[in-house]
Amino acid sequence: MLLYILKRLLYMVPTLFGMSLVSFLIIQLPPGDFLTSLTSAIADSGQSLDQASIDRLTALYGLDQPFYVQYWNWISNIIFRGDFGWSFDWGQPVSRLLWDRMGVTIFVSALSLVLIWALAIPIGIYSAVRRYSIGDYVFTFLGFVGLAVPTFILALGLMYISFTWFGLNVGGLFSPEYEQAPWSLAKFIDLLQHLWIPVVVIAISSTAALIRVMRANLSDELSKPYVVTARAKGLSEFTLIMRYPVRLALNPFVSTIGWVLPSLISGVTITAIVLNLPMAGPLLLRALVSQDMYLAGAFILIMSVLTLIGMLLSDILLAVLDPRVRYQR
Amino acid sequence: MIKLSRRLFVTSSLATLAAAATGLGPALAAAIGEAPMLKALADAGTLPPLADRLPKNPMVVTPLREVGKYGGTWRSTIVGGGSLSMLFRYQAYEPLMRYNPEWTGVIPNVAESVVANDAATEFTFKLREGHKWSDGQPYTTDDVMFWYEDVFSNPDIEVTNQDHLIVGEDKAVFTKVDALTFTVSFKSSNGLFLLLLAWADSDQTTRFPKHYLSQFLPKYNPDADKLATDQGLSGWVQLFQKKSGAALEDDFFTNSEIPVLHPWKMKVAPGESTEHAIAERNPYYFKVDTAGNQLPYLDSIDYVLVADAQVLLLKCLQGEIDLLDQYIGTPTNKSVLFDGKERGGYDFYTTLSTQPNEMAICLNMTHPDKVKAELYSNKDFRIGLSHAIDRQALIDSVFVGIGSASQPAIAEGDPLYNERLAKQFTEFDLAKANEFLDKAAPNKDADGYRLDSSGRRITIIVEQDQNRLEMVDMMQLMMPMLKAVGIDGQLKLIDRSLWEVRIRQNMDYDATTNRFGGGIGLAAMLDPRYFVPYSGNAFYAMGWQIWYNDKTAANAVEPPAQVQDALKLYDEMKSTVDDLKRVEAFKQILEIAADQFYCIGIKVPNDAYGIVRNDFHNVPDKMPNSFGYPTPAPTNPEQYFKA
Repeated sequence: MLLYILKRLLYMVPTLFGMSLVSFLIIQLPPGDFLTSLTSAIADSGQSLDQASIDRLTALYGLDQPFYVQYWNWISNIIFRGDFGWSFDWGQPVSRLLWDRMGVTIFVSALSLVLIWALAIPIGIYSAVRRYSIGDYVFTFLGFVGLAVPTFILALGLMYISFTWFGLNVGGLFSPEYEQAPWSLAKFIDLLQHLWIPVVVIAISSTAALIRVMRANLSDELSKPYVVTARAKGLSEFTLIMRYPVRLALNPFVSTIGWVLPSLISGVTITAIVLNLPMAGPLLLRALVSQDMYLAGAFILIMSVLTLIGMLLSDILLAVLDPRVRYQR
Repeated sequence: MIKLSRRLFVTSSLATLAAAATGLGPALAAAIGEAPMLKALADAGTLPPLADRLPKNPMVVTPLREVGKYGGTWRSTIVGGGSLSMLFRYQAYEPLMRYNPEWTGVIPNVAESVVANDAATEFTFKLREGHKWSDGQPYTTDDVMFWYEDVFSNPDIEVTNQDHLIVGEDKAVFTKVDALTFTVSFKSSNGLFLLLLAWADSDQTTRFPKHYLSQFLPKYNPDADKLATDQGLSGWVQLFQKKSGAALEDDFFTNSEIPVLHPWKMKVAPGESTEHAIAERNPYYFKVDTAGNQLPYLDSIDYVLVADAQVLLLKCLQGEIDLLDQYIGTPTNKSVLFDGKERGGYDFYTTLSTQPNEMAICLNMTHPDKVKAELYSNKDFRIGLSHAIDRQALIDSVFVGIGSASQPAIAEGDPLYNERLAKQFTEFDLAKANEFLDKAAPNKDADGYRLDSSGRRITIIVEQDQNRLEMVDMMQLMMPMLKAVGIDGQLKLIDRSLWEVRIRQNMDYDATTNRFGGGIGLAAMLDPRYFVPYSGNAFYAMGWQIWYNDKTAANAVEPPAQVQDALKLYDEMKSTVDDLKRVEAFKQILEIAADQFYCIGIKVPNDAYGIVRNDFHNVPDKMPNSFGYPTPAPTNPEQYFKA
């Protein structure tokens, strides 16, 4: 097992290299560069930048170098000095912007993940065990609504309701008066007042999807002979369901942990924009639009790392959970 | 004698300016008021007393309605993805000269006075004695000369936005007279100099503190290169550019260290936090109100950085924004903002359009394809297209019926208004359209489309920036109108950066649309992009523009004689000191523009609006809307107050 993990860790190195190379290439694919978006802003304001100036600036920022040179400068600084470079757009070191946002992102995402599982697993079990009951129909209906409603619409709807009905200030994670204040009970309560909207919105569609998965998987297991046998042997219904079929039905949850981590960053971008959350998604989007390639590259790299770690985690967990998939040789 | 309205700049008579400057400040016996937060510091001895912080002769700003109260935070915003030059509008408009609130002229600002010689070749500026940077260091001629000698004239450093200092091929020469006096001289006349010097970002002479920036230059600091490489930059040039913002204004605004002369100074720069940027009052700000209170009244500006304009709209409705006209002042937002007035505790102010049209359709008359270039340059062809457009239909469906049909022109009511330029060929008349198009391209193919002189179907691909939503709407409605007269129009929506590359750097586009440029007196003279092809914004004939700026350039195209005349008139307009001559030259340019009919317009531009909270005072009800006049900065935000 240990050898297996070690091997997997080694495989991650070339994978990561490939990912960083491809993502850097894709960021560079659109026409123009950071200076192009900048000159357009200058032109709108009535000034003009002549081509000679643009060329000199391009050289100054190293944007005239061939792709592989730019890539090497970028990646070698990260590997050897832990330096992610400068963000053109914000005029700050990328690492500063990156970690600033990652904290909130991981916090909100983790909270959403907990909510997703806390809702989806019990409801899924209930729906499977009590198939075609009133409760199952209600949850199925809600589940499909949850799947069908785009999250940003839901976000806008909830914001509108909490603003017009409850008079709450919405958007962001804090009211303006607490934003820069030190931590206090009042600030924490203010955070909770704001936090429920993003957490619910982010959780809702994934919850709906997972309920369906759980229900389908468990339904398959419930009719299998081992369940009948166990029941015949007099095992209590609750222990029976929890100990065997549920454990097997959890397989897909565990094997998708690898996707959950990055999708919580990039998947909720629109929601984060609409709700004005200080998460990584909006910053990544902006970096892509303004072709701020070092910032965008850093985000994509971090997401790649998270994906790989997530994949490894899910494989290990899967082995722990299900003896059938344990690595054998 | 020409009678000119107050909208048009006429007071560049330079003698008047100097007189106005001294007459402006009923020199105060003593400045008496300061913000409580500064008074506390001064009393504690951590800050020098007020008298030592102000110049001997502070600039006196007359509050718009009343003398204000100190304190409070101006809650503002920056929407992500935009340029930070937006900040000139709020906290950073302090050039040597500034526009007056009505945008009819300029007044001395950081400069105490300015005197020009009759030929407009030499300008003598006098600075304020005792004027200090926000860190208490003196601001003198040395700072100006530092910028001139070590930055502007330094071949290693890239400096942008200095068009006002260049006449033809010749750059201005700065000469120090004494610690407070310097001259700027030109080889030939530069009549627009003082007007252009007040443009939002023509302010580098007043934002380059020598005592701070010299540490990044090897001339003053042998370790400058090391300073840069320690931070992972390529060398001192890159670090200097980043710290000073000599080339890119965003660099200036993301540096919270640099001392300034502005009313507020960055405390938390955009990027240091990606949620809020905060600017705090400058204890050494050089202006006082009529009661002798040091400005600004407001303690700080808090810019919330949002990613999306819809979020911002909600913030306005919630009363979380004190004053704003950017981003939100669109026709579609008006009704929801109107409904939310009471709840959000705000009201509206008008921002007057200064642009020549809502949209200018530019056919590429210098297309590298000779057949296309010839067709697009054929005035009959453009007239035909113009008559084929049902402008009223566009106005009704895109602008809820507001505004009248017009070509790109000077606004009606302005003394420079040229009716022919504004109204010619604007009526929707299919017979006329076909008549003119028949002259230019009589032959049609089996599908009813017209053919060009080489027998190809006339297909015009309009390449358009997809983010300009109203233009996209108009163009989509217009495509069937073109088809009705046998033109195969195709709309190609592209991303902004692709648009920049395609239109500005390649020259083989068929047509594009844009707006901006000046459309009222002063704005039009300073940015006449649709009336004479003088700059890279002349999308209707990039080749001519290149020819004007560099006759030997590879893709320069020699314009027709009449356009060359217009360019000569433009030179004359820029150089003359005589206002009447300048107006005369500009009128002739407009006549030629009417003859040439460079591009096709749709309607007069709409005025926009902003919102201001009811507890936010001294904001005018109306102000011009422009970047060069960085709305609302010329209306003196330092005298806005909350109560």
